[in-house]
Amino acid sequence: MERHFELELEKLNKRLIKMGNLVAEQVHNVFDALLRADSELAHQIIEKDSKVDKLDNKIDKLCQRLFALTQPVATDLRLIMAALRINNDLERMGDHAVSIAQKIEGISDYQEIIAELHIDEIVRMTDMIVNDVITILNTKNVAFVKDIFDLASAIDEKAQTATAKIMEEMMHKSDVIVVATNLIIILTNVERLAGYSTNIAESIVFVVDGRIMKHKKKSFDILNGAPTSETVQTDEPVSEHQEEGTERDPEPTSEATPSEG
Amino acid sequence: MNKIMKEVKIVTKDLTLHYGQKMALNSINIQIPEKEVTAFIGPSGCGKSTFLRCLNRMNDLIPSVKITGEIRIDDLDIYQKKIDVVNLRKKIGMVFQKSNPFAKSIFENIAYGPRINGINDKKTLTEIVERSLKNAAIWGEVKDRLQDSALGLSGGQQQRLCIARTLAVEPEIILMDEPASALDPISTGKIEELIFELKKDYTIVIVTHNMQQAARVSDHTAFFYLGELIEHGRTRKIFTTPDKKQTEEYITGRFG
Amino acid sequence: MRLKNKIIGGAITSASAVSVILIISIIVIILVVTIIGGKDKISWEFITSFPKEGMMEGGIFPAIYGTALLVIIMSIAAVPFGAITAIYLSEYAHEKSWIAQSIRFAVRTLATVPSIIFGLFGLGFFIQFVGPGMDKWFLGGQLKWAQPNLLWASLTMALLTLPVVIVSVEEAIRTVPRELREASLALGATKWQTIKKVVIPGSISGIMTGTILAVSRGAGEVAPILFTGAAYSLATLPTSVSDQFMNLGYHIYVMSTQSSNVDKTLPIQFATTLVLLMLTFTLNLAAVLIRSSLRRRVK
Repeated sequence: MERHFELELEKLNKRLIKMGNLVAEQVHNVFDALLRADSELAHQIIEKDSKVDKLDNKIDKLCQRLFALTQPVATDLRLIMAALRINNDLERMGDHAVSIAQKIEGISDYQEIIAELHIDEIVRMTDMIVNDVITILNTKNVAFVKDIFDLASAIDEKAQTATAKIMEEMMHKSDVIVVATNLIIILTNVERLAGYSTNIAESIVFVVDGRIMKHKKKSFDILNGAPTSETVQTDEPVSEHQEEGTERDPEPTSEATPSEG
Repeated sequence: MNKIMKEVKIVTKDLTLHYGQKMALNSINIQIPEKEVTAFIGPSGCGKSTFLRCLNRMNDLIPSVKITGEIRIDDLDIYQKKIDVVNLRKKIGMVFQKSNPFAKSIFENIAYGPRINGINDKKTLTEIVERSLKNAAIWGEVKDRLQDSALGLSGGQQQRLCIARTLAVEPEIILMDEPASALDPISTGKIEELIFELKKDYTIVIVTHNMQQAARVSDHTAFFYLGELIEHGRTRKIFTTPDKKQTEEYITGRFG
Repeated sequence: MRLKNKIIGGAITSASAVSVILIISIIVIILVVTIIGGKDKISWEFITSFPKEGMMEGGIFPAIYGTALLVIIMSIAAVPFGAITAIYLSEYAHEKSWIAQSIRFAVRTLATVPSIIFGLFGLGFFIQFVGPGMDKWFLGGQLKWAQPNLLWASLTMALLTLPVVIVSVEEAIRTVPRELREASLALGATKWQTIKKVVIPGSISGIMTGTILAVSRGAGEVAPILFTGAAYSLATLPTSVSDQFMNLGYHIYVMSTQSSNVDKTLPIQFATTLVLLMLTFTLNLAAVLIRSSLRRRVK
């Protein structure tokens, strides 16, 4: 029984993974282009975004169809809901890759600054987080979700540090303002990529066991099996990141309050 | 997504039906594609069942029915004088709302159709019975008790038996008149899954009160209201972006 | 208001109770009287031997035998004819066609005709019209059929029971669900195949019930055979349908009205009545049993 509905869900899953791989490739390439100042590759990335958009539409339509025609419940319902969100997040990640690609030409003459700011390291970490989250999407193995959050926090921290350095530089040298602004934009985009990766990880947790991690400060603890996150203040890496104002949610509007699930 | 429209199996042209003075169907024009599932939905008394029964001329049995217009199956007008209704009905199987096995054994229920077609060879009949029961996904449940009365089966099994009985005549089209309306959800699921399997080989037309069922099983949906065909199109289109306001109101439950 | 309802309800309940008691007591009285009156006489010998000494002694075997033959020939004539009519009415005729309407009207009228009229009809039609015709055409004027005999009596009785058969068979056929007919037709069966393989098997118990009811009615009737074939007394059993025959009901009638010593035949009368009652009760019981088994099957 239920075989043909299962086929549809499998189709959705496959498309989502395809979308993930496509976005991961875009991200990887854009970092490559950034580090090598390859404006040709940057251009290709911008072009390829239409492919991401098309797949985004396709997944949206499939979800809509599944909702309309199959009245999903329980796991099926969560999967389709999450697929919609993940799809949306992936599409935004694609857009961020394009934003970065658009700035590459403007900074191509300043490779030494990029090296000095350890941007290559941030970029490598972000590439990793994106790859990891796609792997989780593929395997639905939520055991590694904690690593994603840790990595996102680290990226965020490094990006903040770099941004602070850039601003300091801007105050002294007015001739670097343009390149500095471009770099800040790139860093913001990179940080968003990491943020969306954590969002996707949350959505996958929602699919796998129905827990909603969104807007929960110490989601890590949920993963570790503690249902009430507020009590675990002693958990070091968590409180540390929290004090530094880590905001996993890339949308600035979302408050980091553990109020509602 | 954009599957090419398959061959058209059934076409009606201005099909109008009267029960005595009362008009039950008003100028229905529809094309039903081959080897796909077409669902007829609509409120009670909208004419969907009446229309279904026009397709195998089951309405002939009711004396007060008058039909004008045309129904062509494989481009043959089935209401023309020289059509042999008996042969037509062999080509078009029908499954009813209430499962209606004969008060005979499971074997004899399936063998009924072949027998009236003159097949009496035991071996051939055995083959037909086994194949039909397998195709109706009920072989495993009944293979050890083929000689038992069909009336001893559960409602869902009876309905699948009736589908098997229809398959035994090797029809090209299967009409289903609310085949799962009297069944529990599990049996309903089995019937729906069976419909999905059957559409590989048969053109299926199903009347259902259950919109979700139409959504789940059909490729095309036709919405009937007050004897008129309001809208007909791909199910995914009807259930996401219907063209007509009445369709939208009906499928969202805002009717009236 | 409530009190009024209560009074009405109470009245109806007691009225029903009275009628039930009344009906049951009538049956009981009849049974008791016949059993008391006939119990000394009834025996295996009584059932299997011929009457003796002007019916004042001996048994009633010829009457039982004649009654049996009568109902068998009557059934052979009435059941197929009635069944075919019933099938026509329920399966083929349009409900409102004039032919169906007139058949129904005829059947209803036939059912209300007093049985003595059937007897007179049998006399006038079979014995005075058909019989002489047959004698003239087939036997060159030799007298054979133009007199009362088993065949004419059976056919007359068949006419009497025909409405019973038609109505009960039609009713039985109507109990076959429409869905089953449609299933058969939808599988490509012709109308006749459907009737043969679905409708008749599905209503066979009903048809049998109707037949038995008709037989039990025929077994008890005397008037239709009065002029058409029943004999006062016969020394031999009938060997052909052109022979006369003895009959249980007629035998009672004869003994109670024509005997030279009615009082002396009284025990035999009671015993014969008892046999006749047993016969019709058994037949009715069989009809009830078949009908209830049919109901179980429909469930």
